[in-house]
Amino acid sequence: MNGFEVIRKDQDTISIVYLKGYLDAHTAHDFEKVLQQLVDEKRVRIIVNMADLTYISSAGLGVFMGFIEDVRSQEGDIKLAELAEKVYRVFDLLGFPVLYEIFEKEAEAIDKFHSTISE
Amino acid sequence: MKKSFTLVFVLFACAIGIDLYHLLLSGITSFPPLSKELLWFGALILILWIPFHEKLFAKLDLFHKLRIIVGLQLIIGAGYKFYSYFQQPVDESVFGLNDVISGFLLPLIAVGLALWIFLIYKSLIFVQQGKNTEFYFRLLIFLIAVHIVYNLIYMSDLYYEYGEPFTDFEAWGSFKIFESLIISLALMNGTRCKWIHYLKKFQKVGVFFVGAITFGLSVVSISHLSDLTRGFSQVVTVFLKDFFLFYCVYSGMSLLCALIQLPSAGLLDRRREELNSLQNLSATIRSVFDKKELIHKSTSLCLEMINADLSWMDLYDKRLIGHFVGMKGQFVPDMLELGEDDRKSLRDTVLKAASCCLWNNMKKDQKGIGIKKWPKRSGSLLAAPLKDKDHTFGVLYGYREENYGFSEESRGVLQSFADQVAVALSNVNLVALTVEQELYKEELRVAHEAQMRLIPKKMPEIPGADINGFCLTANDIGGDFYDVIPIGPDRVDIIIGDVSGKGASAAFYMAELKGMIQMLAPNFTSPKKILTEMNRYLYTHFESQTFVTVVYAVYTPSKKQAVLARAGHTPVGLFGNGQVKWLEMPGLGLGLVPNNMFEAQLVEKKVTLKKNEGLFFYTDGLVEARNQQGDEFGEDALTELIENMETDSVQQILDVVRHQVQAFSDGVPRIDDITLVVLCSKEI
Repeated sequence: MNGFEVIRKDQDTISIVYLKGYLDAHTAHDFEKVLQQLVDEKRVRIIVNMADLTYISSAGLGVFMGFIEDVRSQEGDIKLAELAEKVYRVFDLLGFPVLYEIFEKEAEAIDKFHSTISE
Repeated sequence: MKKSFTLVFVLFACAIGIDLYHLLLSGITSFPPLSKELLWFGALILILWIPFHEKLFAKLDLFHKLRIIVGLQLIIGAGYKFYSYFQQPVDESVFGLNDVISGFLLPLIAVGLALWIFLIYKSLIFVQQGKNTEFYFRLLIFLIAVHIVYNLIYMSDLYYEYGEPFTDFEAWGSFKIFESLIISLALMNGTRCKWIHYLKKFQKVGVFFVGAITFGLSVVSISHLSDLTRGFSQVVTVFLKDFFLFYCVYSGMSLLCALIQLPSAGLLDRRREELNSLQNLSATIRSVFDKKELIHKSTSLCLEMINADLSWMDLYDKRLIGHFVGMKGQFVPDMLELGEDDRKSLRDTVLKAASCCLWNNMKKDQKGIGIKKWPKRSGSLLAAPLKDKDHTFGVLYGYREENYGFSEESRGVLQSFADQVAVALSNVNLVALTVEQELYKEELRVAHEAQMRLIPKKMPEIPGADINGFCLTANDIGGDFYDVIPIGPDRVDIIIGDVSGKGASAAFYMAELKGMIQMLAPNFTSPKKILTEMNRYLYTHFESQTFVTVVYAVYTPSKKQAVLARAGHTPVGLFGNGQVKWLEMPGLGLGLVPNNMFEAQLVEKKVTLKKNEGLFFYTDGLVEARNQQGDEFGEDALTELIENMETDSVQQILDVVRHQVQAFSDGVPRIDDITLVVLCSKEI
């Protein structure tokens, strides 16, 4: 079975969550826990790096939807970075590019956050 | 058996008959004829010889037997004493009621009661009989018989010689060879006291006193009974004498036996309790499938087993983490004062030892364990880990207020008990898990049925359109659905969708959606309008992480025209004439964003089907189906497959795709539903 891994890295006020492997209904909970923890800690500037994510199911997409409102109400955001082509396709079909800022590189997302701070 | 009884009965009847005859005829029962003596002899020996000890007293419990013995002895010994004390001196020459009572009735009663006692003793001797039990017993009876015969001969000689019965042998001082032999044989039989072993301590004390009483009464009876029966029958006299000699010895032996066993009786009782508790537990294991009940039963059994004042259990498994679970015994609140850290160190010490730990002085030992303050003054503590195959998941404790309250043996006992408890607990967990899985399966089955009911069983006949589809469901419910709804004579709506999430909840959302679509469709002509209306409801009513992707098509057969709207779903394929064109209009999934945003993003598309053209709708499960290598079926393979399809038969297209995808993912469990719907125009 394809494994799944979530790694969290804090960088200044920004938290980067690395997803690896196979995000489906069974593994979505692990991802959810990490996001919940971040929200509980009021760390709401979140970048989700999906460079190593090979698959995402609708349940995985649902996790993003479950938190975005809460995060944005605290003047934070969830930005997506380094999506593989196949994963991007799934996001794209659902219309996520309208809802989320998606970056090719993690650094771009970080820059974006920094520029909003300075504003 | 019956024949022997009849024979005994006849013999007795004859003997008593002869007596009665003499009594009525001459008024004297003394100097009986030899024939009567022989009849008595036969009857008595026979009744002793017949092996009916088990059957006769099978229903009596031990103490009932002992009570009967004491009662009968009292009647015989004390009763006769009592009678003779009040007996009036009578005129010897006048035959009266007194003669009948003392010369006939009383001996008869005495014989009956003595026989009764003897048979009860016999049944006691035969409790768990050994190899030689029967031999020694029969030897005793044989000896008694010989004794009687000897006496009869001796008596007859003297009788004829001197005209009076010989009475000398009754004197205690002049023990003869027969008496000694009978005593030694009675001793042999008296060692058969196994029934005492199985008694509890207080019962053994009872046996001791019963032995003392019966011993005393037997001694009294020996010296007095011959007075009563001498005139009645020589045989009976010797009989009773031998009987009471035997009672004397046997009750003395049982008294000694009880006395010897008294000191160890408490220990034996404990052993028996331990054994009972263990048996109790295995019975409990089989009958209790409720975890709480099992825990409570185990701690109460623990109290009994090791004779503890307090018993409790700590559990550390995933499902139930608890300290002081199922606490039983005295001063419960005191023990709860044991702090969180102290509990932890206690537990860790036991887990480290991995076997039953014994601390006999908690005041001294607490430092070694790492406990800061033991809540009680001191006391002894036993702690056994509860282990299953892989790990320790709990500890069973037993506590006594006294120092040195437990022995090394209790330690072994508690460990073996804890092992059984551990097995029982694991079993209960396993059962719970199985039940849960069964429930989950059942839930899935219901959801699966619901999903199957939501998918159209039979396609409606639409003039000018050939529409059909299939849905291969996953092991979990994937959340796919489709519907084909004819509205009016020249319109048919085709909907395909996928609810996020899985299982029963997905099936419920599906049911809700289906109802919503059925209600909205007739009221609107534009698919965009219908989807917007659905989004309004879904965005406010569904959980935020739940969303639905849908393609909604309104087809007008007469114009061969389809109006399509896509809400986050996989694109629609326009196929025919050797190619596939993907139609991917902008549109967000349902339930993701508020209505104004949803409406702003959604773009409708109007398509008119040319000759030999058709539309197909699918869910992501189709292109994401995997083979054993983990490769996806893919959009390209689907395109390639459908490119070359003729639009003549929708069913054929469906069959080919289904077959291909099934062959591709053969041997791989389906993780998502796979749905395909195809629409082709037909000449009206």
